[in-house]
Amino acid sequence: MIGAYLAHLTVTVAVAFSLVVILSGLTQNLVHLVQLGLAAAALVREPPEADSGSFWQRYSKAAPPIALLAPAYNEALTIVESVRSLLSMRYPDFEIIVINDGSSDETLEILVDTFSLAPTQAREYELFVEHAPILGLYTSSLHPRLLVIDKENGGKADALNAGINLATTPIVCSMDADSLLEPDALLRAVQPFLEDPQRVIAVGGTIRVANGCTIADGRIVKVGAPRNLLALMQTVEYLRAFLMARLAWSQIGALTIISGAFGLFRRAAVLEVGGYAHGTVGEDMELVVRLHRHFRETGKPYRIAFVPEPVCWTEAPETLAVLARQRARWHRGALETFVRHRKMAFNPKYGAVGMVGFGWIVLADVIGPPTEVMGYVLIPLWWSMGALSLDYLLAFIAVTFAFGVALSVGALALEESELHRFPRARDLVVLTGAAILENLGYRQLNQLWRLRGTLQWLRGAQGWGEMTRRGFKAA
Amino acid sequence: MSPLFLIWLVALALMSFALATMAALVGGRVLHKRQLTRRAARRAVVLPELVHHIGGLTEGKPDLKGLEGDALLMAEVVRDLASLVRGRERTRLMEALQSMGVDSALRTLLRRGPTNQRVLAAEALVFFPGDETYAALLQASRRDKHRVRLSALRSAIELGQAPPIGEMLDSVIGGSELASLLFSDLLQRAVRTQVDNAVAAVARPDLPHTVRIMLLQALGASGDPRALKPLRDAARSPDAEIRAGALGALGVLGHPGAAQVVGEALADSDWRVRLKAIECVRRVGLIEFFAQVMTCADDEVWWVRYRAGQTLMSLAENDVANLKAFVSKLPKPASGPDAVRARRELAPQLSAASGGGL
Repeated sequence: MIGAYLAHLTVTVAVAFSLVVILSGLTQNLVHLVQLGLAAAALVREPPEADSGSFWQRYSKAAPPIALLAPAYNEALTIVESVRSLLSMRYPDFEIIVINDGSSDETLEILVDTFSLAPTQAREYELFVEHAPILGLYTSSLHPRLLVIDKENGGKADALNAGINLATTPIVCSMDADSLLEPDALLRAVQPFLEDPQRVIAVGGTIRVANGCTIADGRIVKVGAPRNLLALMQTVEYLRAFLMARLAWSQIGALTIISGAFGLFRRAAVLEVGGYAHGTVGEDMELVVRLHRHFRETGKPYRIAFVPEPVCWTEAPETLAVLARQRARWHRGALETFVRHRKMAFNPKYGAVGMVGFGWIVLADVIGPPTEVMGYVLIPLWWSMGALSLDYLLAFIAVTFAFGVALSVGALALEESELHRFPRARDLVVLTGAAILENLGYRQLNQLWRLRGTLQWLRGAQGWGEMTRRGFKAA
Repeated sequence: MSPLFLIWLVALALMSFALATMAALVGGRVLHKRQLTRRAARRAVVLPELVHHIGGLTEGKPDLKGLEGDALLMAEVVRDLASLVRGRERTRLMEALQSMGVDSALRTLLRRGPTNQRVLAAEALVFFPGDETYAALLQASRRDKHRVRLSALRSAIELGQAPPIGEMLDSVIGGSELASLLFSDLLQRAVRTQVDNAVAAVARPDLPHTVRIMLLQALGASGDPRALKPLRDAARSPDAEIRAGALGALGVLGHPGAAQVVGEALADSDWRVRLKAIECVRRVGLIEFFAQVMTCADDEVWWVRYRAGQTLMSLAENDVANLKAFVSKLPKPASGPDAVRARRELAPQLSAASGGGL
């Protein structure tokens, strides 16, 4: 009697849980489909311009000054190439502020030697936002656009706050010191500020994976698909995330993140909300959500825009250990932001960002990883106990797999139809293979890493974990 | 049809769609590459022929092998080549292209075609002055996607045929997407040739705030003394943003007749107005306000203090000895905590200029 009851209970629980997993997966896929549609519509409405030859003529006279903020912590391997690349940007009026965030390696010494820096006191600033003490400021008579801040270690958010305090331009660009910017990245990304100067407070840009590309003098000279399998999967993932998801959400005012690797912000707006927040590893997302929250609560008109053209290239991790740490950290950052601003979730007062942006975070970041990982464990277990039908199980796995491939292919189609950044047809074939392969292990691993991020967050873990960089190889 | 069959069908359909899409994309890529190769080959035919013609190496019309009808190719070639040559050579090039109907093909491309191509056509048409071109640009500047409208407007202005200021302002009233910094730049260029119209337009009651400030800035950038009066009037507006905008424009105008309103504005209750007034002192070189700017170096707002420091140094021509001389000539030398604070704010700039302190 009890045995029969337990068996019946197991079947009921198994079926109910399976339905939750299926429903969650299907909803996520349907949202992705909506994103694909929105992104495609945006690209058709405002097709990106591959040829940037006329940009200078069109935009340079109206372009406002920009300060590039490049926080550097132990970046001795890549800093010189990064700064050289920044110095050769095509933009009429910009300043580069490198913030050495208490590096324990020779980042500062290398900068001083390479760019003939000398200490200066001729830079007055005020502590608009808090940050760790500044130890010194350095400028170079050879490179008047360059300012280096040497400060005590305080983390990326702290370093960016120092840069924002020192900047005197109306727009600041936050970036990673180890990223490579396209020469016309600023001219492309500043367009929303030029077109809608009263409302635009922040602009995000597409980040691409630099692995597999040919790099010379701090520039991407030839785009190619990575040879490393993990980096290849991430290339498809980045295309999906930026060209599809972020572009789509920006169209309806629900963009909740601008990547820390590249983002333009109206300095006054950032100061108005108190700068970057300390005590979170997701400072990029937190700032964007706080901007939404502040401007919604104060009723000021605003817009957070996104440009689909690739503006920044980053080195993707090529080992499982580093990638796992990165993904767990990103997930932790998303959860931290979600909890800090939980009152925005499903609150109509916050418009699309509360309903759609936060709704998506709940579905994809809060519910998604634990449900999916539990599904991977429990569903086969229940099947082995005879509680679930193998036929249906296989059919649903097939649908999920096919949906995943179709969405990745959709993102590739957006890239190929509007941007054409991969020069060889062979790269497209390789990326299609990656779009199929990523569903067989990579996606599952990713959910596992994100679940680990959830557990770290629950334990209150802080810190970034070690990010091993190989540095960009020159051609 | 059983539910199981339906699920498998969905999976198969999705997978087939994905693979078919990718196959189509790869095929499309091959075609696109061929198209690029063909375009490069066409450029390779057109460019040398036109370069020879510019240099007077060909008699009569250049032989473009019928490619003059390829409007997109010609738009690219015109944009790239025409901007490199000047004077008689450019005239020779343009006359040849015009005789082959290239300008007409570009006007057609401006009317029909994808947005990016229409923008390109508008930019290329700047090299073909004439009534037909102006009419086509004006039409595109009135009713098209905003990128095309702005490009058409820019080309019309560069041809020296800016639309009437009133019409330009009408196009942005109502908060259209055109009311941008790009539009502001074009308005500045247009106002230079229509100062009287712009002065009259300042009085329009229907101008939104942002557009009015753009117009004031454009008047300032015109450098025309006729702009002085409306700017001085606007600098006394009850609205602080308008006052700040007008003072900014007066600074750009650089006319000493702005002195009186600048003097008033240095004590304005709104920091944005004080900031612009200080900038105006620096730009116009209104040395008589040295003492007031010195007071502003102790302002409660950092930006005002920062600009005051810059302005004081600028008035003293970045010479510390000069600055000391100015300070010593002040009727009542600053002393006490305010002066200490002002000196502290100035210290970094002074040390930069002199290598020492004040």
